[in-house]
Amino acid sequence: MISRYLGKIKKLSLNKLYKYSIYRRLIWCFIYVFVLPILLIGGYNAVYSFSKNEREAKTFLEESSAQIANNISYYMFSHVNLLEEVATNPEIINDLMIYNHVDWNKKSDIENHIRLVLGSTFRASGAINACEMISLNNSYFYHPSPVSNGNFTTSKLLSKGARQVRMTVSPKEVPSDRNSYVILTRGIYSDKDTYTCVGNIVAALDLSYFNKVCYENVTNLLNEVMIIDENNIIISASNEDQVGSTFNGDKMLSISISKSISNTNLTIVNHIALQTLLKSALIQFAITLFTAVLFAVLAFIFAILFAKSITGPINRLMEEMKKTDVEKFVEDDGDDEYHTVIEGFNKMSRNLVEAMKRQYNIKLQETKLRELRKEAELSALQQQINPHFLYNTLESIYWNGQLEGDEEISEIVSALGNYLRVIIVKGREYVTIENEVESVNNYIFLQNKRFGNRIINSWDVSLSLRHTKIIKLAIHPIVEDVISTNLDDIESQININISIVAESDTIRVVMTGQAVEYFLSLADNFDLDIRGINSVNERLTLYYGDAFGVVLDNGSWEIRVTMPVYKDNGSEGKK
Amino acid sequence: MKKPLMEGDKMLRSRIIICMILCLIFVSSCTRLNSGSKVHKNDTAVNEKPVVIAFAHKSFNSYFYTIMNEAVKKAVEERGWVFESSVADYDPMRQNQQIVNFIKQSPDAIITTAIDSISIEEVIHRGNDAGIPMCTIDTNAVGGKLAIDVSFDNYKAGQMAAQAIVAQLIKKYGEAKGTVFNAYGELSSNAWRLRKEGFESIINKYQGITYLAKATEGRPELVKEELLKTFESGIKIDAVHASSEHPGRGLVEALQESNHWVPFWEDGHIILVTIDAEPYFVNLINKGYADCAVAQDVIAYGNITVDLLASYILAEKAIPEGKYYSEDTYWQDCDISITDNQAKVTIPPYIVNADNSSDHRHWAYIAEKVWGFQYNK
Repeated sequence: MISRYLGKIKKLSLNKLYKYSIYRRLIWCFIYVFVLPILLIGGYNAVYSFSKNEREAKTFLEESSAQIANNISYYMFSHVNLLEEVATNPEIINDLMIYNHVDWNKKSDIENHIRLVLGSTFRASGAINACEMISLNNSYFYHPSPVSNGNFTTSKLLSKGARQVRMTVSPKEVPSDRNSYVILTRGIYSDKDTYTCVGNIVAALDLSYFNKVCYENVTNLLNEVMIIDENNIIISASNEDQVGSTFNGDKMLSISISKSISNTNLTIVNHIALQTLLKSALIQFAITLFTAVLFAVLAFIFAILFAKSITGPINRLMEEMKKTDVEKFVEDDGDDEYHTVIEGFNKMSRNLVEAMKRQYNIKLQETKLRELRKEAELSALQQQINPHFLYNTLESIYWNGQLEGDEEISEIVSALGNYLRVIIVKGREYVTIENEVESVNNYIFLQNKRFGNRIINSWDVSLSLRHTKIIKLAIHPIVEDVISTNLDDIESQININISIVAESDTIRVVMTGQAVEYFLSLADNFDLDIRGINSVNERLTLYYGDAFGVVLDNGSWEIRVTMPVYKDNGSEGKK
Repeated sequence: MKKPLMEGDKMLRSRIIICMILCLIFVSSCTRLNSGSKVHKNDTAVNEKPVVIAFAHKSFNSYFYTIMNEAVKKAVEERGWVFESSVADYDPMRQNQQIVNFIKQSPDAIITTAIDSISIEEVIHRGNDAGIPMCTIDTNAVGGKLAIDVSFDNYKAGQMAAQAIVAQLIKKYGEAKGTVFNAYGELSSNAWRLRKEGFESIINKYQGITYLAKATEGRPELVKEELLKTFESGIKIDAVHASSEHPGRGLVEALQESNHWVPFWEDGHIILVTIDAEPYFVNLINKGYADCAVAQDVIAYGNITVDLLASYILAEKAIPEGKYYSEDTYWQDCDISITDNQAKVTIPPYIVNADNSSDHRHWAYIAEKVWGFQYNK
């Protein structure tokens, strides 16, 4: 089942792939092989890095928050103690109680005393921006400037009932300073037993320490530290822009640790934005991605090169194959499999060209033969206009010679008639060797009658060849050329020997003798009449190819004629 | 001859260019990731040494001097400078030592309210030798080179107080007549002496006015005592005056205790004119118990001094002679005179009465309503 599905998938995949060119397939293959593994490894590393960073961030935030909370708690504790110290100072309590009941000199002393106490108490801290003491009789003592609006009934900072230091984060009630401070407030009581309130002390603690703590606990700009009050208002933060806004932890995409600060109503929030954690993971992934891109570029270049090396020869072959005529063969200097393929293609193309040429020549030969045949037939027709008339005339001459007792005329006329019968025969292309020999003999007889028996010839023909058929007039025109040349030039006797042998299916005619030698000695003479020889040679090569024909051999002083035996099976031995 | 680009060549070239651009974008984005760090705002200011201005104050023992200290402090801190202060509680030796201590710390300038104009000369010279611009406000030094000296026209203030009383007497009687009580301060104080002189230069012009001048050392209890004695002696007093409002509280208590504390629209009202125009007395003007006060803009001391330091002295420019304009003040402008490269600025006095007492430019309004300093009666 599985293998069947796998097979289907494979088939579908391959079918899909087949729709793209080899070039594209190779390029994508290279890119996938180079890039995908890098991307996968990079992605895994990024996820691993993120989870590791998350764990470490939580640990760091917890430790950092605890330390910040301890520091602020101690800081606040020390300032609360300072305030308690002033508020419970018996001399200060007494000063407040008597201030309105003493003369101006004593008032001046009280003012100096309170100022000195406040100065000596808070100056060392350096964090007290302003401090004020107010008696219930509305006497005001500032160090160095006010915090409240000075009115117990309307001030939010003044209270007659606070027996312990209260803390809030708010601006002063002074119009000229709207900055936020940690406001510490405590009532001042005359007697521990009766708890009679005589005044109030208010101190505005600068937030610079909080800001410093928040800022200094930011490590490598990774985390953000903020301090929020009970209303979730951010009173201090490492990012100054957040101060004064409402903290909304639910909307933050971050790892956050909140820790209450003892001795205060403040909470420290220490958080690392997920974006920050993601950043390092993203950097790692980005480096991997960069590597992947770099490799992709390299892979792309290599893919192009390799794909070109593979598809280039194919494309060239395709281009050549698209052409209708083979102009030139594909050139290839390589030594790979494609070189073999291209060589094969070239060889195939070459054979094809040769075959086409041969076919063309055969057709050309056939066309010529048809033309020659037509010419011969026309000639024969012209000669056969009235062969019977010619034969009857020759027959009358023969019989007149007999009647007159002139045997010589009768013999000449008889030989001429036989000669013409062989030559002028309509529709017969092939004759027996016996007929060809007879035709030659008649010709020699007639020439001897004319030239006084100067021609002496001999035949060397096996009797078995008597009925072997050869192409008509294959010997006679050659003998005629040789004898005609000799008769024109030589006045003595002319000797010519003709032998006919059969070798397998080939008939070989060899002419030798003094007449032949003389003829061959003149073969280079342009005036020599060899029309008969040319005719025979042309007909034999046209009929049977270049392997057959007439050879004038000056070396062995012989004329050779080769031709196939005619087999009367329709093929006539033609090629 | 250059071969024309085939379609395939163009595509290949385009692909290569796209790949290169992608690489460049990626590299730039990587560098951007690293450069996206948060920079703390204060980083640039960490290594810069802030300007430090030291203020050696004579006392906090009055509302006026408390506000003077606050004015200098705010003027310094508004510029992002560091404010260092000391208070000598009217002890000249202590003040000199505090100034010497400041000189050792090499602040950019020292401002002081001299307790003793003569004994402070030595430390002014020391400051000059150290190359520290020395400035005095309210009370100056008689020796040494002062870069800036901001003072109040006390003589004119005395004159204006006297003129205001004369005007009220004429309003009351149709002519300048009646008895005027003046509780003047210690004459060793240059300011109180000039005020007295200025006051008397006007009062003495009028033959119909009986002028009773009482030395009260600037102490309110003595002022009260002297006025009560005068009342007890049966002298009918038409107007009372104190050379500043800190002792002027003695006049108020004496009037209250002698049943002369009535507003101006009722019979028996005694004309009350003071100098300084602190919130308490501006409030009395509003209520009709006091007729007017000659204002001494205490906030202007700090503003003018620090402004001239920032604009000229610390910028190593010469302070130009002529008018000094301060658009936020009621008095608008004052004079700067230059003597031997020392700039002397004189804050002009002006009258606060029922007609203009609610103006928000008065220093009393700013100190009480804006800065939040409540006044101890």
